[in-house]
Amino acid sequence: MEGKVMTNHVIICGGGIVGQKIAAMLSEGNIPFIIIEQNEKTADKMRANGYQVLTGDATLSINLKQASISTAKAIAVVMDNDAKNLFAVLTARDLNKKLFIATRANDEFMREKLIEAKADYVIMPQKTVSKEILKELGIT
Amino acid sequence: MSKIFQTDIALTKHYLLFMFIALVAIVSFSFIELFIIFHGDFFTSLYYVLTYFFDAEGVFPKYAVAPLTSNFPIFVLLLLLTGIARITVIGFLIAIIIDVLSSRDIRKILSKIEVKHMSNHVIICGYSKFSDEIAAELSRRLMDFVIIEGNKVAADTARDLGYTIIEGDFKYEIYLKTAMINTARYIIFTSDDDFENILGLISAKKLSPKVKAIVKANDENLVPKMFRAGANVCIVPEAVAGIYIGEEIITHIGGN
Repeated sequence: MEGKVMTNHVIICGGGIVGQKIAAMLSEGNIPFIIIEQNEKTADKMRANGYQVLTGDATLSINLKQASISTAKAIAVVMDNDAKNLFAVLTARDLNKKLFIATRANDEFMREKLIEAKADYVIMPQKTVSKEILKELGIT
Repeated sequence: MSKIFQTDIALTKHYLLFMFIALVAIVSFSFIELFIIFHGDFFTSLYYVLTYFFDAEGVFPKYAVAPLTSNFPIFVLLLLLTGIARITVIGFLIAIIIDVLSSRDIRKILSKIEVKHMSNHVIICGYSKFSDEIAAELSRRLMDFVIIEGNKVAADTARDLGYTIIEGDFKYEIYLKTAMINTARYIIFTSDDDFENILGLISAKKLSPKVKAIVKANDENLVPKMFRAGANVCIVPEAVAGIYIGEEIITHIGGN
């Protein structure tokens, strides 16, 4: 799959739990996507699910270009390292100004930095879960 | 002994030494001044210096009544001793009162009393940045809740924020009982360690089968085990984040 030109697709950077969840949702919605994952084992596991996977570092522009970032509609930067996510967001924005960038942050400081780096949507998993628990308690 | 504690002791020693030197200097200077005023009368000068510095009523030389010369040394000694005794006793009492009022032990006792009167409350097992979000919201809404936390530093942090804390390991039934699990409505397990959460969950459900248990799971594969252990709701932060991001992307690109 590597090197194949895709259009109007979604790039998922990181094949962890977050990335897998997004992949499952996109797959269900028949939305084309490609995953960039550095870890060989994780990449193979995702390939076994029938997903298109590019093995490599998502912070490098060469890998993002290989995933056809210039013709992509959106990118989900969901690696488990905040600094890497920030770097990938900066690189992605440089390569495609119109791209919708969704990412994750582990703290408020990083969230602000990602917004400054022109991410369109930043989620903080822990904060989101707190909200979910409060919903369960009947607090909305 | 911790480094911070050693530094505190060193600072206290320096502070006491400075105070002592300052006191000796002031007393000596005053004595020399009075010795000159009273034309070299040693005992009178000593009397005024001692009454001025050690008598709590602080007799100023020009208003003071000169002591009888015959019993002067004993009188001075008594003044000195009673003055020091008074200052020491009053200072000691004030220190004890302040220490008792600011003591965390008192706050621990008050926490236990407070929990005893709770019902339909929420028990939060583990205090972290994550559970702080929940505690802050419950506190803002004046809802009854208690946090069980085994780490002293984390427990003190939560206590300083005014939260009701039971200091202990939530895996043990004794702490769950102290948190009044039998009258609680919800129990939330927020530890980063899934196995700790499962152990706590089993203990909690044994003590109160009707309590609604919400468990944070870090490993999605453990979720079925958590449900088998009695969890009513399991939340995997990463999975929730994935769903949120997925929904956001699908909405943005106009998918189904």
